Amino acid sequence: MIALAAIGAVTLGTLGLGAWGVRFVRTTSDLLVASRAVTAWWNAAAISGEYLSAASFLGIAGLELQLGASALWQSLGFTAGYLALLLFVAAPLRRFGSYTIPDFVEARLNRSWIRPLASAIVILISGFYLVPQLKAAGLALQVVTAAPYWVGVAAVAAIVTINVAIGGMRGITYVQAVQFWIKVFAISVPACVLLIHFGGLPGRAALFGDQLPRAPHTLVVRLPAATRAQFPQTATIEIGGRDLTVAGGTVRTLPARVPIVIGRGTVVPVAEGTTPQTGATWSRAVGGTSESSPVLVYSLLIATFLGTMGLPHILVRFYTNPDGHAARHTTVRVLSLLGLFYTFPAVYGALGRVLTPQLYLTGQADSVVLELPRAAWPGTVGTLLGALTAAGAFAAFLSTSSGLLVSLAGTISHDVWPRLRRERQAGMSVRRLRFRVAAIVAMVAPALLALVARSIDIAILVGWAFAIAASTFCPMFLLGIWWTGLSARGAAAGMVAGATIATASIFTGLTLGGGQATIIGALLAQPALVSVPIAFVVMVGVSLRDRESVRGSDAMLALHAPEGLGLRLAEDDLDVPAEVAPRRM
Amino acid sequence: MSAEREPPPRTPPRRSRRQELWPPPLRAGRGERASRAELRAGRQERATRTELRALRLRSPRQELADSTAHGEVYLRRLRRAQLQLSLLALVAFGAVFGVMPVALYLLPQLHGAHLLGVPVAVWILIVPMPPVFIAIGWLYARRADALDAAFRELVEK
Repeated sequence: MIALAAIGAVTLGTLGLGAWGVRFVRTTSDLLVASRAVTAWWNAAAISGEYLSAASFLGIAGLELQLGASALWQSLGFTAGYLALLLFVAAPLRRFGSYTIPDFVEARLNRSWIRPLASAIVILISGFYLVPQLKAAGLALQVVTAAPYWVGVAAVAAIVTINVAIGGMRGITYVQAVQFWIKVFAISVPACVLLIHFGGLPGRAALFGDQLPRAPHTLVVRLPAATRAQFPQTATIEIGGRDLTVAGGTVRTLPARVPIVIGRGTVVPVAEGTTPQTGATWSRAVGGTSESSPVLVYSLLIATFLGTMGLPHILVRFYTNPDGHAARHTTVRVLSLLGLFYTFPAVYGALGRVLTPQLYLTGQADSVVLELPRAAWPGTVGTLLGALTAAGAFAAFLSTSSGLLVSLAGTISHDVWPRLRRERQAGMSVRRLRFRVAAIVAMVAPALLALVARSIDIAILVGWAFAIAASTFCPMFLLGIWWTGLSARGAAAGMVAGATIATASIFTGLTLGGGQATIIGALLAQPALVSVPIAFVVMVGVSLRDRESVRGSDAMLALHAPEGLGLRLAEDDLDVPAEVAPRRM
Repeated sequence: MSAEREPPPRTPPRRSRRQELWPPPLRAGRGERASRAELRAGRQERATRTELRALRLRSPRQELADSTAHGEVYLRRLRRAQLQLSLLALVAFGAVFGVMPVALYLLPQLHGAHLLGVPVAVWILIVPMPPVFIAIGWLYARRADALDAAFRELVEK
């Protein structure tokens, strides 16, 4: 109940602050002038706030519990993505003044036919990224209130849609910045308190030694569905009041909704598909199991390192920097803020392995951040800390889903809809109505996919969104910003190739079933290592063969000349659709 | 302000940091105009007085604003310098972090060795890596700003 109250407080607080903020901005300040008042630290916190999603808050700890220390690569990659953004994209993109990715593609390549393609890829990436947010919402509400999985998915989908459609919490810098600090507080305080409570990490043998995870005390588990469980060692468990001894190495089907009692010190069985690991293998960052083969690690690192610059809802945020210089310095601060945040999820994965090993059996590793405080510290303190992590998790998926839905609905209402209706200009009220309808429509497909994708880890789902971004927009940005020879046809061919290969291998991997044991399986699960180089090669190759006259040098002035020299267009000349413009206070 | 705008002393010719970074272009790639040096050398004797004056008065800013060949050269230098800096930072990042998966794969003893009960490999990933990212980013941003400032100084001269 306390957890539910905390979630409600975070939700209502954000919605209220957002609604109030919008009114405040409308009445008191002019958009562009006011942006000068936002300091780099506030901007950096806002970018980090929009970026830290369910994957960061729940997914990394869950993946660490499931796979081991190789999940650390994920958090490092999520941080390092901003280094790539800083080195190659931040300042030129801000100087160019494009507001969305389709705007940039159209203006840089000087062709209007390429815009629908860029819009389609924005929709693909945002959609892929929304699914894990909703999945996390369903899981979180299930853990906190024992409601069915679909309730949480539907509730958060509805809240976010209404919120975006009404216009509250639309990328307001200060609201997003506050969200960031809420998330840091919610993940760091329980982690530190628990570490102090245990005087460091307990159960080292299961973490780094030769032990398998054992029940820390008598565990009572109710499975949501009948599960085939693997027993790594001979164990005696009690199912519905009757003792059952299972020999080590065998697989048994355990019934659903019957209390299964695992006595203290018994090696916990794991759901089929999860590899039982001793502490020594679990703590290996690379090469411990097939899921941490070097190929898979590099593919994941490339996806996260290069994919961050292609996330639509993040790039919009960079527009709130007054100039290129500020964009650079904001990004450096983002690096330090993310570095701070990502030290904490690892604590939950490690403590969860020792204190909540039943998650290996239920297959709900993603809920470890939510379950851990209560399991580690029964009583009021544990309940309070659990309420804190639940509230932080809700802050994470509310802010990220809202940002994603804004870019989805903006793209649909601004690019797709007018094209279907073949009209040129629409009035402000018509555009606003379209934006609202688009927000509702855009939420349906991800919500349905979230219901289907229940068994897939959040962090893996997000990894796919990064893989697609890395194989489409990343080569387009890098070549478009630094190479005058990029032609519109080359960019289009490369983006189509990258998107097709990445999506096709993800779905092939899904239909073939999770076999990451071979190199092929690893690349199907995380295709960036293949799809990104192919996208680059196709882009360069087609551009070089292209006869169309390439006039990249005009764009280079706008991209690279510093501000304040009277060489560039005034900012007021830019046409930013008002429905999607970030509010600056 | 106007009092400070005195013409700089002619001699001795001071070679500033800006000139090291941005020596005046001797010859533009596809230039329509011959450079000042060539005109002075008298290789093009038909150059009139007015043409000479026009050349002398054209600032880098005008060259850039009119996107002449000279302006393109100035801008290309800036872009190249920035790209070199970015690639240098990328190499530094690759050398410290990019080699890490292979290094940890090839040196399993890093997993065996423990420090305070936690494998050294895990320490390496958790503790020094984020500060390394921040340091690379911070140094890069400083140098990139310096390149921009040098370019600005050139144009506003």
